Amino acid sequence: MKHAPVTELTVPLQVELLPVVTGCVEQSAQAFGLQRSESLALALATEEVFSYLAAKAAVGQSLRVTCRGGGYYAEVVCRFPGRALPVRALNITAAVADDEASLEEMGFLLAARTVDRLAIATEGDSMSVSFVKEKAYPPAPAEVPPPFAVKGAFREYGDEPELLKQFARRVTAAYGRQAPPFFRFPGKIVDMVAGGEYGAVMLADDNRNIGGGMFWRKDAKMAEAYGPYVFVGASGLARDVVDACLRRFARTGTLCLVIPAATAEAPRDYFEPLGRLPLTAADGRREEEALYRQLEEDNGSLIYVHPALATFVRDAYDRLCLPRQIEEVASFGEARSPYSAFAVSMDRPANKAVLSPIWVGEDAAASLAEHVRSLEREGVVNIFFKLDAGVAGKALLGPALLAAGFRPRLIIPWEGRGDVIVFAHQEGGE
Amino acid sequence: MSGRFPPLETLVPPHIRDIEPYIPSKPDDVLAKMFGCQMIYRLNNNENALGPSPQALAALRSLDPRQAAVYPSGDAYHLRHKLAERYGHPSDAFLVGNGANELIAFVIKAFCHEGDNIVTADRTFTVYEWVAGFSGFEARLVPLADYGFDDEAMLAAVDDRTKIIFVCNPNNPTGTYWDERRLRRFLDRVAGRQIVVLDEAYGEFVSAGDFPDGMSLINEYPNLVVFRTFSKMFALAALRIGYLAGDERVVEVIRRTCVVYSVNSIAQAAAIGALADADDQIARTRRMVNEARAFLRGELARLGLVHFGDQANYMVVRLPVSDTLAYRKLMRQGIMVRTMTGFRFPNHIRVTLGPIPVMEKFIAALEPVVAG
Repeated sequence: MKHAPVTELTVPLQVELLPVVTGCVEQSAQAFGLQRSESLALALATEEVFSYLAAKAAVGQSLRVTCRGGGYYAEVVCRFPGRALPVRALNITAAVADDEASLEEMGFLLAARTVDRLAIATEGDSMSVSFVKEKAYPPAPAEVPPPFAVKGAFREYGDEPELLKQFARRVTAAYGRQAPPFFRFPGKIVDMVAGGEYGAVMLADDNRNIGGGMFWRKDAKMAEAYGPYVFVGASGLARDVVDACLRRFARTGTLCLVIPAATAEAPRDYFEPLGRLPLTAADGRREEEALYRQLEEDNGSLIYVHPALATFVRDAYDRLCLPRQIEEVASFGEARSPYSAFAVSMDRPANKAVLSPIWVGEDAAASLAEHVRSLEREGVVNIFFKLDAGVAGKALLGPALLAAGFRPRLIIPWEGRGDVIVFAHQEGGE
Repeated sequence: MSGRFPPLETLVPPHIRDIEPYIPSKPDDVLAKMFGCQMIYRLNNNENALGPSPQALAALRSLDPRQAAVYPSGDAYHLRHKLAERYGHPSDAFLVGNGANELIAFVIKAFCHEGDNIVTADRTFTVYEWVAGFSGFEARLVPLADYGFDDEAMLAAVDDRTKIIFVCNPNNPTGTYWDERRLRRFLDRVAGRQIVVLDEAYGEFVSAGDFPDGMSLINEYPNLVVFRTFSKMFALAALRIGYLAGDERVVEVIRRTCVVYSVNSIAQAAAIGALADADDQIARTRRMVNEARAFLRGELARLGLVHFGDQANYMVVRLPVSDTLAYRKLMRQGIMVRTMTGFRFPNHIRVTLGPIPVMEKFIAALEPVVAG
């Protein structure tokens, strides 16, 4: 793993120090490769956090701002004491009422919309909010890479930028809508790999024409993979690609590899089926098959589940033969935050949205229903929800998810703090 | 909590930051509970199912527990003299360590300096690569050729910063070996420029006539360092004891980096006992292993499974399913094998050869897994 450049600033929560914070964020983001407009978006988001907190802060409290360059994006993490953030305002569905408190939250509403990803976390008695803004890249030219006559045997090549760009273009040309959207930006693929969070294996012939490859995102314990992609009819090439990919992961500490939307070429004897997710596209309905490959011994983990989902979860683990300690959790009237916040990840070309909880509160059911309505109004037809079963508080969402029309479809081991349950929204939910 | 948390980002050197910690398997009782099986047959670590030899057991039983208060011999004095008697080298030509892992660390620390590298194979015992990595040295991993160490490619990988070449003979996990002619040819080509470690952890299992005896080559090749262990053939794995042998002048350099007192008194006593009836233990174990290999060959052929490993006390089997899935399914039936994805052999398992009744249980458990 390459080490990302990082800048850090600790600054008292005093409003006159705002330019110091925004200046640091803006300049760091530009130094990490973002354009000025993208850097300003991050600075604006940070400004809203700082201003809101500074207005409420006690004397002596400070904010720690960490800026990190991830190659194709820059991230800003703001850590502060207490739990003062108005999480409700981070929802895409949030509306600002005409009262003073709501107007204070207007800044957050704006901040949540200017960045590509945001997350909120608590650490002991402090809280953090992180914003991610991605670089803008030009799309690949329209012309399709020409077919080629294979020369010599295919062999593994390193992560050379020109090969990665060729790989991205061939994936988009050969797999169309099935290809993840980032492949449409070859420069982004190069930066994703250079940033160290993504990896690729490519098999090319003697003329450096790529016959096949795989791409993946590394996490602490799980790698999310894409492919295998094969561009020529060479016998066994997909198998060779998967072999090469798995060899790359040997002795890395990564526990498992998941292909959320496997290609038809994926050799089934190398993987276990996790399940299928329905996907509606302009040309009809189809299903994406998620495949799983354990890489190292899985020593088990603790899984929290609401009783309403317990049967599904137990059956899934039994089928996967995965050792899990399953603990059922339910609400017994204990006090909770009044508001919830949900993150929404959009894939416009696939007409798809994936929701996940940022913060679970009393209004979860209503907020979820509003999210679904809002997405449907935007014309999104494929709506999914990812629930981290390793976090007890999130398991309480079970009934709200079912009530909002979501149904559990599969479990992805180790995608979050624990395994992640993936739900698909069904039309006409209760 | 008092005091400030240490600044790990600056305290931890880059080569340590990049290393994933090794997480060992959980204990058998925990695994049995996790997978819902009554007991576990351990066919994953190439342990010797016959257990320690009678003399080793007698040595263990004769120990006075009160001696726990007394430090062990810091340099395994008596054991080194017994090894000297058995192999015909001076006692100072031997160095005893807390298992092969510690010996590998001693050798690397003794010879490698910043910017140096080691050369070995990409699909062999992982600890050479692992120790080099956390010590800050490059491990040059040369692909196997036809499942064996590729001598020409290894020589090509050597440069003037290469200090040690590790050769696992027979190789774990593929079971291939260099015969004496090939080993000599390799040592001649190295011509003393690097230290060549010949890891013979499984050497005692090999009965092939052309298998080289590293111990007998030390006088001819003073850059040769031979590793052996009491863990496998002599069934003392829990006691963690192994040794290396080499030219006295070379061993004297390695001794400078060795941790004294790392080998406890119980291990030293058991190893001395094991040497006393070593030939009998080797003969009995080879019989068991050869019977198991013959049995498995027949059964694996019946199931249509490709396998390799004609030497040592294990076989590697290629499966038509993921090896890690097979592991979990076998564990549910109490059979523990080694998955090979981590050895860069996806869809392969390594199975330890043991008594026929256990091999029968393994096959009975494997058959439905293969059938899907």
